[in-house]
Amino acid sequence: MKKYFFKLNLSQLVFLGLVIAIKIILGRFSVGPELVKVGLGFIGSVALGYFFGPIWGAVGGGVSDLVSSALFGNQGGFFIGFTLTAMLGPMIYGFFFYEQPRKIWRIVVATVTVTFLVNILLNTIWLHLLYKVNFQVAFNARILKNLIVPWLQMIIIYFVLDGLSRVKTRMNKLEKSRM
Amino acid sequence: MPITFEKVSYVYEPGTPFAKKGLDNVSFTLKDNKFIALIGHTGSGKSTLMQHFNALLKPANGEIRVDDFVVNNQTKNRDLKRLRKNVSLVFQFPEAQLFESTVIKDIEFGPKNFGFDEAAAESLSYKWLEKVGLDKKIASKSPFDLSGGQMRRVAIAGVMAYEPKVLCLDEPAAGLDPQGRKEMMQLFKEYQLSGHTVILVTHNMDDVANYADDVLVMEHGQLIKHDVPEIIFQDSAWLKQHHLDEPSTSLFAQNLVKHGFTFSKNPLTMEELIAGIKKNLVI
Repeated sequence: MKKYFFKLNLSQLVFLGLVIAIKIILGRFSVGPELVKVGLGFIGSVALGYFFGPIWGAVGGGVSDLVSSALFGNQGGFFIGFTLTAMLGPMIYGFFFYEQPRKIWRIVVATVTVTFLVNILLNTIWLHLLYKVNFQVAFNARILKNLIVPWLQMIIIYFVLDGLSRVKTRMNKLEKSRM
Repeated sequence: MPITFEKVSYVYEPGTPFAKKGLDNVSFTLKDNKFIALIGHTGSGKSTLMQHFNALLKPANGEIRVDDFVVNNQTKNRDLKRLRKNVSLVFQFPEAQLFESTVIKDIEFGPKNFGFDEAAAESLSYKWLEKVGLDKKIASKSPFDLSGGQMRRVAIAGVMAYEPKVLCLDEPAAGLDPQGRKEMMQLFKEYQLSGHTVILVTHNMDDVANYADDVLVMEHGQLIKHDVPEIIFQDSAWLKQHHLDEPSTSLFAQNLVKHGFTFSKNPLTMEELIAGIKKNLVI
């Protein structure tokens, strides 16, 4: 656990701010036909988890949700539960990807965990609490979409991690040259 | 590929309170294989116009014809690949678009995207890597390990590698050292002379004077002049009125005229200036 608690230096803090901004922007986009629309916000979550680990990743996820709802508003109003879900995604990705080699099983397990825990379970609970929608009905409605989308996400994450690792190598090099 | 703009207008964010006119009724024809300079002060519509050349922006009104390809507000995105293979843009600070793991892969990306096979893409990429003045040795390096000037060259090589018939450049030499600047401009001139059209967006009037055959002057989204450099730079009062600089050679010549020199014509290049001064000194 110890490696996840570290102090951010100023350049890391600035970088965290940048990645949060990137996540917010990506969250505004989605690709694909209506049935299997994939939002791109998860790429920001992966980046947060990959670069900053579960703790700071969660902080970044929370901040990105707050800033994004301040800027663009949330559908159906602000609810702290969704901030919590926004924190949990990067946190889980952080446990699987931070300072870890890129392995297919990691990508699969991380994505499935996020999908099931965050997208299906928690978000349905929030909707249930907020609007008193029937849990079972809302749950079933989510299951269908979440049977397809995670597989696409895994493929995207595989390539995203490759790109991010290049950024990280470059950053480490810069860091060293500064010392 | 002759390029014709016919009454092209463009509005940013139409129908919103932020609506802003980018281009206003612009018409012109560019002949084949020329070096065209696009000038005008900041915010005059140069970049907007440039992004119309390969339909990154589509005109709100009017029509653009590139060869047999017609772009108007009905044009669909999926038809544009054919156009973009032939008309390429190099954006300002193109080094920002580098992303691949090695230099050579980054250059190959464009050719592969436009359907060149593996071997052709590779040989073209090596050719252009050398043409932009880089050593073959850096081909397997990460583009992010290069200096700023080298990254610029790699990015430009990536756009030139598939040898587009029309090459549009937005301030390609901005921020380069004088030697690098000259080399890049020479490269573009050679590219034009080998049978391509080069369109250069620039603030640097020396480059316009040295390299351009044809000049488009923009102001407030309108085309206010389209002529050869000699005519464009003839009238310094007109240039001043439209916030345009003059080439340093003609400024120098004007100072000499104040001291009794005479020039038969406004010198636009260093050679012309030197020849003009010599003529004055002989007498």
